[in-house]
Amino acid sequence: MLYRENGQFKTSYAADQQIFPIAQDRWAILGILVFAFVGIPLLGDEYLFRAILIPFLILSLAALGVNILVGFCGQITLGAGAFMAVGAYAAYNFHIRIEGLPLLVSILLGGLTSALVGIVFGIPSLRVRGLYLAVATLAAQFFTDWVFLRIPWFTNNASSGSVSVSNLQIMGWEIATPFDKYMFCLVWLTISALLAKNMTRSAIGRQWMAIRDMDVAAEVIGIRPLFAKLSAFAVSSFFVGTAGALWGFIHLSVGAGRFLGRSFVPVAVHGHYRRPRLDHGQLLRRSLHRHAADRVEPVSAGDRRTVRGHDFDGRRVACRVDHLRLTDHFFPDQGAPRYRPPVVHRQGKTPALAISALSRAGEPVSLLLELLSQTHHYYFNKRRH
Amino acid sequence: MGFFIETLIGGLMAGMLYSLVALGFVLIYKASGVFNFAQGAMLLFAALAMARFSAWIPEWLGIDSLWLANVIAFFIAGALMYLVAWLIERLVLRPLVNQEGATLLMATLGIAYVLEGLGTSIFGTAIYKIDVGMPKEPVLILEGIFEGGLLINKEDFVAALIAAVLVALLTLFFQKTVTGRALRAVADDHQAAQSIGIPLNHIWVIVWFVAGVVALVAGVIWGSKLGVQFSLATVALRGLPVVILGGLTSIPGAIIGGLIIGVGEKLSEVYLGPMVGGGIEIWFAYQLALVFLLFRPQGLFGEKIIDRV
Amino acid sequence: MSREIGEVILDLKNVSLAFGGVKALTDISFDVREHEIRAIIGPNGAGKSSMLNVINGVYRPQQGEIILRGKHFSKMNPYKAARAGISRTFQNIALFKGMNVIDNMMTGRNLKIRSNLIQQALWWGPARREELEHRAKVEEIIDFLEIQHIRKTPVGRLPYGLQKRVDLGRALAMEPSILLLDEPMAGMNVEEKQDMCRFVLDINDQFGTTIVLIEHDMAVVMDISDRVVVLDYGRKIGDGLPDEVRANPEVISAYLGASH
Ligand SMILES: Nc1ncnc2c1ncn2[C@@H]1O[C@H](COP(=O)(O)OP(=O)(O)OP(=O)(O)O)[C@@H](O)[C@H]1O
Ligand SMILES: [Mg+2]
Repeated sequence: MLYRENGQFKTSYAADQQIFPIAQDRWAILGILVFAFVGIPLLGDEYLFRAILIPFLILSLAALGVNILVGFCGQITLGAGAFMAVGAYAAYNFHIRIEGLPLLVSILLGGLTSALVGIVFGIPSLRVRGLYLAVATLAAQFFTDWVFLRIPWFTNNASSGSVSVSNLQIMGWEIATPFDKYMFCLVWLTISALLAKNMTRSAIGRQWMAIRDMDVAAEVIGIRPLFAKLSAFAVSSFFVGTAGALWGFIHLSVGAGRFLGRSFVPVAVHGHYRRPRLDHGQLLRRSLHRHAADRVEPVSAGDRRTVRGHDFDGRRVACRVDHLRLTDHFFPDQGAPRYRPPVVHRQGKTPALAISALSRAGEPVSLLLELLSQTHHYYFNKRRH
Repeated sequence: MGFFIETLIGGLMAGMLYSLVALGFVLIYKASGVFNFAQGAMLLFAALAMARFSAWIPEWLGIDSLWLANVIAFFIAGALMYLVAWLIERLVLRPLVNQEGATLLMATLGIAYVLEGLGTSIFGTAIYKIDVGMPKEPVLILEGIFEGGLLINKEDFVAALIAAVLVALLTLFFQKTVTGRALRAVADDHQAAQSIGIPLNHIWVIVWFVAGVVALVAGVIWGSKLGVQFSLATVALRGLPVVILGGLTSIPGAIIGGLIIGVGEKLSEVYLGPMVGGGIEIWFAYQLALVFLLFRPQGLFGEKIIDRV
Repeated sequence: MSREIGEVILDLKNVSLAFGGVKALTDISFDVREHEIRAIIGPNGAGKSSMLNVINGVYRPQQGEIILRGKHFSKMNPYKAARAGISRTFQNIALFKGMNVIDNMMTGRNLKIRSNLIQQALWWGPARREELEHRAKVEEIIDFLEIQHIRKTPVGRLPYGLQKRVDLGRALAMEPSILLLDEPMAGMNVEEKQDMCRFVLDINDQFGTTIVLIEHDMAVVMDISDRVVVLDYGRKIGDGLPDEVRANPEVISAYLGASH
């Protein structure tokens, strides 16, 4: 089938302005949706849901947010990881501090909080541009990380650093099995993508793109840079923040049913995104990060060099802490740990950034990339046993 | 007072090292328009090479002079950095000539992944030592003037000295030599430089090699202080606020920016830190740079951006 | 609409602008009347573009003020100017390169958008209705400028002449009362110039838009403009009807490059 617009005539502007005016696009999207909603549930096993598809969906949501800011509004940012953490912690705090707050509302509030923080950290973009702005956004990254590490209120003073969020429910639907979680994330992502697409094809999207392509001309046309840029920051941070909230509630509560407090979210978010390498120790580390971290325990208080945990299949594994690198995050309560610059942060946002840049060429590319990286991991994990 | 000066000196000495790292960024940005996010990975790679070769060479050659082993290891690591520069030019820069800044930034992220991965696969992931005989014990000076004297860390002092010398050499190289002038021409306009016969590719290899050497020296200094391990790659993150504070295109900016950040960081940690629970060093540098940028969006010495329509 | 030249609509008083040591404009005053075509001419670097930039607030003059329909603006900014009905084209085309022709022109409708972000995200009610209305308006302009065949082409791919036309289209989409054109015919061949002249005259004639035009082609200027201002080295050296200006000895010497 050839991809071309020729010969597809429209007889009204409404038809020409529908969400996917080209027939091939409509069919492709429909196909992907059917596959995601029907095909995958038929094919997937639990491991696939938990280890690959759920994080895949959540990170796609985050990439969607980054895409709006970087791809559409042209504001290079390296701070996406920070907003994911803000969303996660905010959602968590709303959820435990307000009795009976529905899960849906908590996640949305997490997103909104992240949007507010996004606006604050977006203010420099009104004066600072390009690479200078990119570096300046790292300020958000380091600052939020420090805040979550140092202020125990955000983690509810939990002595173990982990708190349980029991029964995740949405309007009577108990989200318990990996399949439920997959479906929940999928619905969430689909709706978010729809909203994002609508924004990018209406006035607000054109404002963003105008600012991206030629800001002086945009202003002359009557676009206020203040509104355009900050709205992009807000919308982007909202999506990234909800992704963080989903990560905290849906993904990490897998199995253990717990939400690990402290700086775990940034660790997870960022640690996750390491590109696969062949080193076995590193694969183990990834695996620890991803699946067993809430059960990681120091071998002994005196020896911080080794941690043990369960890998995904319940086997006990040990891992050198210098492989983990973000040691401190794993021992939040053993005195004030020496603060080390959070290495892994840089890696969190960057692939998202790269993906987002690519996705300017075509959104499917980003999904494909993410999928590739995920299957790579899947393959290696499978082969290990 | 003595304590304040001590902190100040400590800050200046740390700042000198930041300047060195920042210089790595500035050199590459000036000459190839690339914002090199792989600077940290280069630093790690160089330090790993240095650490491992200085351990391997005595084994292989049966030399027991530590000094000689270190010198040989340094040159091998330097040669490796040349190879890296050459490969980067060949595989990354050449295909991407005249691309947008953001694209090149992405490419350097790729370089960072490859270098980190390669470095740890070849050299291993344990913590290694670099022992170049840096003096470890602190000394007290000026005991006559200040009560209790000033405690100066000799290691930091030597490190700052080395950094200062290197920074001076690089500045001279950039300003006075023919190659340096060619570099500046390239920085202004790739195509124009090419059209007057400056060999772009050759220039890029040189610049990336120089940045590699800067990374190597910084890696050795930091490696001997902290041990060579993965977190060394983050040292470069310390250089970023320096670069934007000083201005991406300015060598004096990198130097002064480094000193400002070094001093600001230490003073804030000592005087502000206890109030908020400590550990503010890392983000303080970024906030400082950010506040600065709000007043001068192009950094201290960066070129002003004028919109013409 | 018949073309009756009306009252003074835009009045510049003693405007001076300098960039560091460069005096781009020195104490310049002139006015623009409603519905007229007012040309600004002068050698390269005379300060013509700077003049337009001052009018719509891209540059802030150190001195002087702008009176628009009796309202004083000592500080104009591009957004205020746009709201007041001033739109413009650029000497070096400033289109949004990543967007197609329709979207570029739709940005010109931005000030008329009433729906909010949430409605747009939901593609709901007013947002959707507006999108259709504005699209219809933009299509009218596309027809007017005869660029139907390229409406979905990304502007970066268009040849120079067409880009200039799209730039004009985007300015027109704002339905301005005053249109500032910075060398709309520069670099065009004879045929394209004729087209562009026709568009300028038609805009002025059909929509009654007041036009301030910078142009180097004297034949064009003398042909289509009602009054002409002449700048040289940031100073005003002539002002009046085309024939008066043509006869002005100072203007002649400036154009022949005589020293002064
Ligand atoms: N943003 C700016 N920064 C510094 N100088 C400027 C700026 N804009 C214009 N100038 C200077 O102001 C003077 C007038 O420039 P301007 O662009 O207004 O000339 P012009 O009459 O439009 O010339 P041309 O016919 O070449 O377009 C020139 O000397 C120019 O260099
Ligand atoms: Mg001009």
